[in-house]
Amino acid sequence: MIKVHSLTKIYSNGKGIREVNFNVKEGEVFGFLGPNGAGKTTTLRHLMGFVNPSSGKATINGLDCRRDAAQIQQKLGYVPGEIAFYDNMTGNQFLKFIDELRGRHDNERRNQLITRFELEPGRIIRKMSKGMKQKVGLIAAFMHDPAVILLDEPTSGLDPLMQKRFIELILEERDRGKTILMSSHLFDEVDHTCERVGIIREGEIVAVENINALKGKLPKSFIVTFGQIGDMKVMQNSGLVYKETGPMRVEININEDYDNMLRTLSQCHVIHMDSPPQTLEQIFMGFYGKEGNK
Amino acid sequence: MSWALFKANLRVNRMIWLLIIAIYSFYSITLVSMFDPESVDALKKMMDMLPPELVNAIGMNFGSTLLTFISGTLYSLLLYLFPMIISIIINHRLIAVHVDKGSMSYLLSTSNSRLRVATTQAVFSLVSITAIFCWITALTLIASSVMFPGLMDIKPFILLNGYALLMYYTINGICFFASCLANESKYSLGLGAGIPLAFVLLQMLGDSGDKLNWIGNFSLFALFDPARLFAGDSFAYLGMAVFAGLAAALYAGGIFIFNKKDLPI
Repeated sequence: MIKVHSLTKIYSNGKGIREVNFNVKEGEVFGFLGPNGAGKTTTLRHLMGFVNPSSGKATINGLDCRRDAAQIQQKLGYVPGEIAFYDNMTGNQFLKFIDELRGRHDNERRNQLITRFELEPGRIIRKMSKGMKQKVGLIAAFMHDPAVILLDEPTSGLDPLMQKRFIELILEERDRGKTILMSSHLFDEVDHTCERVGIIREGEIVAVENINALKGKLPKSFIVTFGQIGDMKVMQNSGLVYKETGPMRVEININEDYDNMLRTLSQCHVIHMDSPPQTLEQIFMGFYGKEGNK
Repeated sequence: MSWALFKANLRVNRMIWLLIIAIYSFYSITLVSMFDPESVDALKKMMDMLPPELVNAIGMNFGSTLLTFISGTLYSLLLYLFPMIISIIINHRLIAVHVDKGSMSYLLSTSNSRLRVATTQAVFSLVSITAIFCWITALTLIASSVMFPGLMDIKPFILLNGYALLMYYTINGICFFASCLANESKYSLGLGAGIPLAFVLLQMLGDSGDKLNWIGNFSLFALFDPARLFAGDSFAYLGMAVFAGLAAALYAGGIFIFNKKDLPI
């Protein structure tokens, strides 16, 4: 459905994206992961036809994203990373305006979405909080029931309850056969919804993988506190990669050898154990580590 | 053309538009009422007491008929003031503000092509300035026929407005082009306001003294010369043709650039 082929865009300041390749199949939810400034938004701008590629191309449903942008957008929903509307309109007026621009008159789905996200549509957009503006953006992107949906960091500003509703909506749309591309700089955000992820860093795709395979490969760390001096000895002989982070406390780094760690720890007196959530930096460290070993 | 977008433009710009129309109308009626067929000479004498450089710089050139009186007042310095505020602000808002703020991404994500969006905005830009001149022409004609029945030369007055409107198509064209070209508000405003204002300054400098006369020729507005229009000089018609040609080129160029460029939204 979405095909990105050798897409390259170099801006005059040297930043940009290089040779970006990935495909998103029809009915798939694809996560597009990378830190801020990695090129996620630039890639999405190409898919929206806002910029001209230096070389390579992107297509949606066989149509060229730049040349046939208007045609593609009939069946596409988009949530931009930075939300900006007609500030002096109310939420309702803005959504109506977008419907008019699309030439649509059916407002059933719009009303459903307003209820779902508990939007107060009568409020002036300028006076809305960031999360509320984000809701308006989400509703605008979904209300014409598009076949393809592009989301640029869609949950920023949403409270946990609304994030949950959003994830439900994404899963529902996936089950209805929609193709969804979602960018994020948080691993957790894509973890709950996406089947595959593409990871981009400094303008280049580092990996495109199934999310479960990716999770398996990722390095994981456990912070363990021991109750006996002897436990440190056991650790030394275990062959595990670890470092001491405090008295009787170690941080163990593992890749896939859970077994070895569990065997070792079963010989010790563990009084506390914690696994900090993975940050994107750790995920990248994992990839660099892999490249370094080659 | 997108009617929905056109209506949204109306909504966004109606306040500033109505405000300028109100002030402009007030000046129109006041100036017509200030005309006194008996005392034009007295007024002229009073102006003669002021330094001629100053009088010329502010473009006050009364003549002796109602037509030349209005043309020398309402269509001199004031002409470069009120409609220009509209030109600068509205054209800036039509494209550049949407690109700078990012709301352009919503307009384009609704299956309206860039060409369609830019054309709609260009039409709005032209309609807004045309409406101002139509209003002020009608109002001035009504005011003068009420206060001085039969004194106004209607045909040359309408011609004068057509001339001024064509000049304003060019000014609008400059502002619209700047709005299409710039990705950031400050550049759009800088070019869109800077170039027309520079022309006004050149014009004022050129008018302020014989030695500086040549400077005025660098101003685009040197092509706007009501006195030569009333004299039936072909220069005025040449001026109209140049204004029309420039306006067409600037609008078409603006739309073309907007259609081709990278949008940072």
